[in-house]
Amino acid sequence: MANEELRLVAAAQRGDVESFNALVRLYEGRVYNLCYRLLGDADSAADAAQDAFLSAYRHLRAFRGGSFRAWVLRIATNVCYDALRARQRRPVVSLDATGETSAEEPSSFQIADTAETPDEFALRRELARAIEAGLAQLPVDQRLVVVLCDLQGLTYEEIAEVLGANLGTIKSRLSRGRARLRDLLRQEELLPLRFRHEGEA
Amino acid sequence: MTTQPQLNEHDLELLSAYLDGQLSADERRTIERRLGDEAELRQAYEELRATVQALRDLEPLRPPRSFTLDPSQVAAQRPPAARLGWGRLLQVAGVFAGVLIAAIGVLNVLGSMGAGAPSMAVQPTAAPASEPMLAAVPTEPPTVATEARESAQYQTETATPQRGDTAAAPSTHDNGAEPGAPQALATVVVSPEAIARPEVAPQPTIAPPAISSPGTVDLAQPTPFAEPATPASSPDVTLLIIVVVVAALAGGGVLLWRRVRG
Repeated sequence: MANEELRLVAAAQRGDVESFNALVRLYEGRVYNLCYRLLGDADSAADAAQDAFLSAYRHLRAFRGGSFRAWVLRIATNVCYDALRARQRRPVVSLDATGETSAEEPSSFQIADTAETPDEFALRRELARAIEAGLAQLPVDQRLVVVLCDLQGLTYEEIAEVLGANLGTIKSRLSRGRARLRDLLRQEELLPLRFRHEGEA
Repeated sequence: MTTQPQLNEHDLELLSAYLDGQLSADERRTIERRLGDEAELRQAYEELRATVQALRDLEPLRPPRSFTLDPSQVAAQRPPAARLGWGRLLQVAGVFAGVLIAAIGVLNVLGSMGAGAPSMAVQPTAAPASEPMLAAVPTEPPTVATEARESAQYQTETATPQRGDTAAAPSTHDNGAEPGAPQALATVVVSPEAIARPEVAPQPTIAPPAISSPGTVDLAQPTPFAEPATPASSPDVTLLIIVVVVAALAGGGVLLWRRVRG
């Protein structure tokens, strides 16, 4: 796997677009999801993901080994930060975007295969909605770390590579982001009841 | 709303790292003991774990389209990595040659104004002295050596009329080899023709062989025209040449830097 990836990278560095496209297919899901979580709507996320891969191709020779996944995600992160800055300069509040988010949810959310009661399904769905909304409210630097760690499953070391930050910063942002989300879930009383009872006991 | 314990940031960070298996053995033992003893901490841990679980359960979104690149669209955008070295070096060498020729042209005029045409007559003995100095300018030792040999070989002949051709050679070749180099092209084309040719032509004596041939040889232009052997005999002219060479180096350096950055 890693060898195959290195081979693709080397071929792409020699100008083989098809090899590069094989890498794109490997990582486009991750890149798109990261962009979506950072930018909040499908159109911006798709544009950013496309820009990120173009930029990666153009700067391929700057890749000097290590985790290609982290390298690509780093480029995508930078593209998103640029987009966010541009948005701040010229704020266009997209009401459609928020509508889009909730419209997309049902399609990506199905009843789990295990025997799940309707109540459990409803709770899970409610939890997902709340956590998505909560994520969108997090400061970007915390959100980024939470997404990379909990949604994308990167190790702390890889996240540090993506962000160019040290492990202490990663741990602290992750902890604060998670704590904030927990507070939101608490407010909506979405954390499992027994924990709350236990706390009251 | 229940009254919830608020842990300090350090404990939260410990719990968060514990969830990810990122604590040292010592820290892990400590936190596990405390989890057994402190109900508040245990509750915070459970809540955090549920939160993280909710995050992990989020379904990834499917990209609306594929982001693969269209080969025909992309081909023109970026030359592959392998071409970095020689393509760029050739461009820069061409620009060097152009700038130097232009500078020497000006120098020639200045020199002739000071010394008068007759005193500029060919002095073969002076040529070897000025050549190595100029030949040391380009960054490619092997080419320089070849070039020095070539110019030594041909320096007996005086071939002023061909100088225009020689100077133009780098630009044509550049054009073929490196389509993405319009700036370098412009510089090379303009300087030799606008400056070097008209001004140098009337003065058959001055020294472009060492200077124009780096361009010529680097660019694999085998045309063996001979350049006049050149003598910049007076000391202040030599000094001027040094100054000009340094200026040309600086100019070339800036150009290279901008290119690499861009």
